[in-house]
Amino acid sequence: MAETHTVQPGDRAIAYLTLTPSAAVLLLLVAVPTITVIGISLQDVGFGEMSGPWIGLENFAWALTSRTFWTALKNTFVWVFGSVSLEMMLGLGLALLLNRTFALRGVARAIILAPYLIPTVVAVLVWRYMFHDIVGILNYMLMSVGLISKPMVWLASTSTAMLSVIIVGVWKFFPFVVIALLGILQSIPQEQYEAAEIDGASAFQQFWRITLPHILPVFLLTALLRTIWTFHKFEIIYLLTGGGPLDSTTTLPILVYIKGFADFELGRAAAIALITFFILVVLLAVYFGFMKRAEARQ
Amino acid sequence: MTSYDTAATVIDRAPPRRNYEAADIHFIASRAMTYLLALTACTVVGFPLFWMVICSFKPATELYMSPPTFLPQQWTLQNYRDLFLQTRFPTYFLNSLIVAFGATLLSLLVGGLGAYSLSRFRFFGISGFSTVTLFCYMLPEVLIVIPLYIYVVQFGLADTLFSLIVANTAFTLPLALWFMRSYFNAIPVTLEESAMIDGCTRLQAMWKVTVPLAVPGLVSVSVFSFNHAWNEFLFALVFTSSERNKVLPLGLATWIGQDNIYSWGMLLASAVLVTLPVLVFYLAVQKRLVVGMTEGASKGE
Amino acid sequence: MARVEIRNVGKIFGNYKAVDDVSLTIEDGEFVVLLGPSGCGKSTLLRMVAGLELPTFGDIVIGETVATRLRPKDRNIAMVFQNYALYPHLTLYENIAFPLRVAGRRGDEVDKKVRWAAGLVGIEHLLARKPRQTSGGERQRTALARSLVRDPALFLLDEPLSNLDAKLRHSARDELRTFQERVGMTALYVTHDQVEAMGLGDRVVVMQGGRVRQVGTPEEIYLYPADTFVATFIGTPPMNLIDMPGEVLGVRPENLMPVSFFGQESGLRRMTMLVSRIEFLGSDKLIYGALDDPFGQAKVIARLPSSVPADIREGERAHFAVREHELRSFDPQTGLARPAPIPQRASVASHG
Repeated sequence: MAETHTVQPGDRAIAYLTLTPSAAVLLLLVAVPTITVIGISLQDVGFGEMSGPWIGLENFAWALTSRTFWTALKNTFVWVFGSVSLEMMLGLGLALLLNRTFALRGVARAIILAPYLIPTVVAVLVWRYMFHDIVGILNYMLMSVGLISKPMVWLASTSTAMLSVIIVGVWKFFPFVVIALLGILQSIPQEQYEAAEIDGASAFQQFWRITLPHILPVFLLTALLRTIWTFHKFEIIYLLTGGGPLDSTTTLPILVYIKGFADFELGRAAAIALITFFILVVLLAVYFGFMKRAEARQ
Repeated sequence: MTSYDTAATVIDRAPPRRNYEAADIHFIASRAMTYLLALTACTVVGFPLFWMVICSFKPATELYMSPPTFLPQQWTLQNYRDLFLQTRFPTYFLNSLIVAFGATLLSLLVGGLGAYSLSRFRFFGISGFSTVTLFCYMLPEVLIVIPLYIYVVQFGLADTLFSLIVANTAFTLPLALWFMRSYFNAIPVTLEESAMIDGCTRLQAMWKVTVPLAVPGLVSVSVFSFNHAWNEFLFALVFTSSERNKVLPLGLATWIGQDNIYSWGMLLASAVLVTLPVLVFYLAVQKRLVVGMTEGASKGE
Repeated sequence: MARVEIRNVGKIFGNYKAVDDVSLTIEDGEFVVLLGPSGCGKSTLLRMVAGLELPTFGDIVIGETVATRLRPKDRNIAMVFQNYALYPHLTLYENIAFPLRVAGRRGDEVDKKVRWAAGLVGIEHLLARKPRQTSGGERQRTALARSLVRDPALFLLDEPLSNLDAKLRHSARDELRTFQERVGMTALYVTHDQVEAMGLGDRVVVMQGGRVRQVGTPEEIYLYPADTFVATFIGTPPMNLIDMPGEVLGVRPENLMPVSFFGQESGLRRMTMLVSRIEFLGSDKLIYGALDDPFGQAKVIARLPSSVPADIREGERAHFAVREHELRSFDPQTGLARPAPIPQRASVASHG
C-alpha cells in the first residue's frame, strides 16, 4: 500500500501487543496441532489409543499401497472437478443474468443466494427428502415427465451416489461464485459497452472482448478458491451418504474421518490427512501466487 | 452566425411524437428472455427451500403419500409441536446458540485487536502474519481435528461445549482477522491522525474514532463467524456425544440416520427452525452494510 | 502562539530521501507556506512537525521545547487535513468539541468554546448535522473551527482548499487570510498551488526533491528566483529561460514587450522574435515564438496587456525588448541565480 502511516514512539509495542492474543490462539489451535499431527502420522497408534511406538513412514507407505486410498483420491478428484466446473458455469450464467436490470431483481438475487446461507445440515435434510426413492418429489417429477420409468435410489446406488452428492454440493455452493462474479461484473464501466455498441460489436462480441477479459482474473481466482474449499469439504458428503455405498463417495476427508474416528486408527488417519494437506498446499501456493500477481497488477 | 429565432419556430411545431422503447421487437424479445431465464433460475434454485417450508406444515399422512401432494391439503403445526414436546430440540438449539455466540465473541475480541495491528502497522513480520492468517482459514478441518481431539481428551474436555467454542475459534478467528483488517483499511488513516493531533493517544484514537466507524464491519464479521460456528459439524461430531451437549447440526444428523423414528415432518420443521436465525442475521447485515458510514469523510479523495 | 524551528531535518523512507536537510524558522504569528510540486517532501515535512512522522535526522522545536519525539497530542498543535478528516459518526458540534472532550473539559466551557469557534467561521446553524450532510466549503470551515478550539500554539494546514471548486477556493482563501490576521496565528501551510501560496504567505518556502530551493516573501521569490527551478515553477506562463554562452537568461513573459512600448528608454536588450501563434485571453495576449540570433532560436512566450497596441502577426518577425534590470541571469551548470544587476532589490524586499 502506498498510503502513509504514522509511526510514533510506543507504536511498535502496541502493534505487537495487540497481535499477541491472535498469534497465541492461532499458534495453539493451528500451528501446534499441525506439528502434533505430523508426530502422530509417524506412530503406530492402536485402536482407541492416543499414541504408540514410532514406526517412521510406515503409515504413509500403507496409505499409498492401499486400494481404499486410491479410490478416495479418485473420488476426490471427481467430486472436486464435477462440483467446481458446474458451479463455475452456473455461477457465471446467473451472475450475468443478475447483472441485467429487471423488476424484482432484488428478490431474484435473494432467492439465488439463499442456498449458500442455509446451514449444510438443512440442505442435506431437504435433499435427502427430495431424493427419497418412494416419497421423494424428484422421482415423482422425473417419472411424470417420462425421463425415468421406475423410482431411482439416488443416494444408495453406486452409480448415482456421486452424481447426487455433486448436485447437492453445486446447489449449495454455486451462489458464492455468483456473488464473486457479480461484484466484478458491476465494476465494468458502462462506457466500454456503449463504445463497443457504437463501434458495432454484437452482444456476443461484447461478452467475448469486454466482459470476459475483465472478469477472467476473478473468475480463475474464484475457481481456485472453490477448488480448495471443495477439496476438504466434509460434512455435506458425510451427511448425505457417509461415504457409501461401497466407498463410492468416500473422498479423502471422509476417509480421514473413517480411519480416525470409526476405525480409531489415528496414525493412519493422520498420514492420510497430511497427504490431503500436501495436495492442498500445492493448490494454496498457486492461489497465493495468483493473488500476488493480481494485487501487483492493480 | 447562429440564429436567434429558435424560440419562435418551436411554437409552430406540432406536439412531438413520443418514442416507446417497447415498440422495438428486439427490446421486447430481450426483456422476455431475461424474465423467462430469471423465473426458471429462481424456480429451480428456490424449489428445495420452498418444498422444505411447505412440507413442514403437512401432516404425516401427506408426507408419506405417493404421489406427493403439492400444497398441503391440511395445514398443521403438529410437526413443530412434536419437535418441542417429544425431542431435545430446545436443548440442541440452546447449545448451538452458546457455541456460536462464544466463538463469535472470542474471535471478535481477539481478532479486532489483531486486525487493527495488521491494518495500521508495517513492522517486521506483520504482513507475513496476514498471509499466515489467510492460510489458516483455508486449512482443512480434518487435518487439525485429530490432534485437537487428542488434546480435548487429554485435558478432560471431551463432550463439553467449551471444547467446541475453542475449536471453532480456530476458523472464526482467521476469518475475523482477515475481514476486519479490510474494514479497518477502508477507514481513512487521517481520521486517526486528526484525533491524535486533537489530543488522543493512539489507543484513544482507535477507541473513539476507528471502532465506532468499523461497527458495520464488526456486525458483518459477527454474522459470518456466527454462521460458521452455527453450521460447524465435524468438531461437534468428534468432540461431543451425549444428548445433553449436542448442537443442532449433530442432533439433526443423528435423526437423519433414523428417519424411521423421527418423521420427515419433524425433520423438515427443525430444518426450518435452524435456518431462521441465519436468515434473520443476514437481513440485519444487509441493512447495516448499505449505510456506508465513511462515505462522507473520504469524499473528494 | 509560538515560534517554530526546524533544524536540519531529514526523512528517509527505505532508501528514498523524502526530506533532505531542511532548516527553517517560523516566527511567532507568521504565516509560512510550503510550496512545491507533488512528491517534493512538503507534506512529509508538515507531518514531522505534527508528530505523525518521526524525522530520521534533525530536531523540531516548538516554542521552547524540543518536540522531535513528543506525541502529536503533547505538541499543542492543530491541523486541517486535505480531506478535512471530520469524524463521520459525530455531528459538526461534536466534531468541534472533540479536542475539548478528549482534554477532559466539561459542560458550559465546551459549549461556549464550540459556539465561539463555529461563530468565527459562520457555521452555527449547521452544528446538528453530520459531515456527510454538508458541502465541501462547510466541511472545510468545520475543520478550521475544530482546529481553533484548543488555542493551539501552531496551525498546520495540509492543502485545505484543494478539495473545493475554483470559485469557492477563491473566497475561502480570502476568508482564511482575514481570519489569520484576526487570530494572529502561527501557521504552516502546505500547497502545490502557487496562487494560494503567493496570496496567503507572509513567506513562501519553495521545495523540490526534498530540499528547500528558496525562502522569501512572495515578491522575492517571484522577482528574484534563486534558481531555474523556482523561476519556472512560479508564474504562469513561467519565466522564459534562454540558453546563452556562459549563462542562462531569465525573462518574465510580461517583461518581454514590443520595442515601441519602451519609447526612448535606454538600458534595453533587444530581441527579434519569429511569432508562431497569438492567443487572446481577454485582458492579455500571449505571443508564442522563437528568438533570432544571438538567442539561439530559444522558444519564448511574451504576455502583452490587450490594451497595449502592437502590430504583430502570426508567421512574421516582430521586434521585442526587455529592460536590462529585469533580466535574470543563472549559472548554466548549477542553475543558481547570479546576483541581480540592479540595486532595486533592497527597496522591493523591504515592503514584503
